[in-house]
Amino acid sequence: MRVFYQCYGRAHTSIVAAHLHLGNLPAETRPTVREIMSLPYFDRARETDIGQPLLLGRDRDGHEIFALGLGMGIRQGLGALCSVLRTGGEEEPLVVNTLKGLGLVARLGGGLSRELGLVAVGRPLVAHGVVKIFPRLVRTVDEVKAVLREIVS
Amino acid sequence: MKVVYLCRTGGHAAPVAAAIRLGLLPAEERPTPEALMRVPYFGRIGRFDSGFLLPCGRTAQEDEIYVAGRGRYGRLFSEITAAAAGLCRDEFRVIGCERAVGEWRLLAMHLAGILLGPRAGRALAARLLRRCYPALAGLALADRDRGRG
Repeated sequence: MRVFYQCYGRAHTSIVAAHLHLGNLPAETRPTVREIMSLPYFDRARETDIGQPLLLGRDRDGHEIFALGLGMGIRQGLGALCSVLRTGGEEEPLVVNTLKGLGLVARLGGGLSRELGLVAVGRPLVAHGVVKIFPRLVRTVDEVKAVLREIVS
Repeated sequence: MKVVYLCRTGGHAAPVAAAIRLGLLPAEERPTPEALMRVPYFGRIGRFDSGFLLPCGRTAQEDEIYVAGRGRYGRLFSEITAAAAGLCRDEFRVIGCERAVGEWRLLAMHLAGILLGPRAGRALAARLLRRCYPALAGLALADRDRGRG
């Protein structure tokens, strides 16, 4: 099955959630801001990457784990993704919104870094925000794994 | 092969191109506005339908024909459609119909639907599409012939 962790720009929460799912980031301890900032693909996506799923790897059960940004067009983007996959005879994907709970300061940091190019200011701000909601991301990923186990069994 | 005809709303140029491809409309002569208005999905796509592939039928060459509207987020729709199609085992071809219609006609059709209401908007859109019908037929048939080649 394909799992898409979806946020606004495919730069922050979707990347962290996908790494968490793949076991690249320990779920037991809250990471530091530096650890978050050093994750591959964290705060690296450009505006042109919106709508382009990024395959980060396969989990232990063989599920493909993607990060995806849908910008402001969530409803339409999800419609197109599911509709094309269904029409193409593929299994319905599991799409998980990871933006929930991300604070205003973190969103502002993401915008400063990705939209305005102020990486030195924006990246630590958004990483700090991600550290703050880390337990929520862990819960989300755990729920996704539980759903996947249920589907497989 | 799955062929997707796209336009801004998914309710004007794309269904007509799909109908030509399926042989429901003649390619050589301009149909009447009434015939255009009888095309499935013509003027009947709401904004909540945009982004979804709507099935139209199957050609004699076994190509499956769909229409879709790009909606407000045209670039996003094109990106995600291409990316998702790349994940499928089946082959997709996505054809934008806007260039056969032209920006002004597209804008006029869009505004007509809003300002004149659905019924009169559909009638005006049919008349406008009739004017660029040869270009639309050329687009639909060029792809059919490319598929044969």
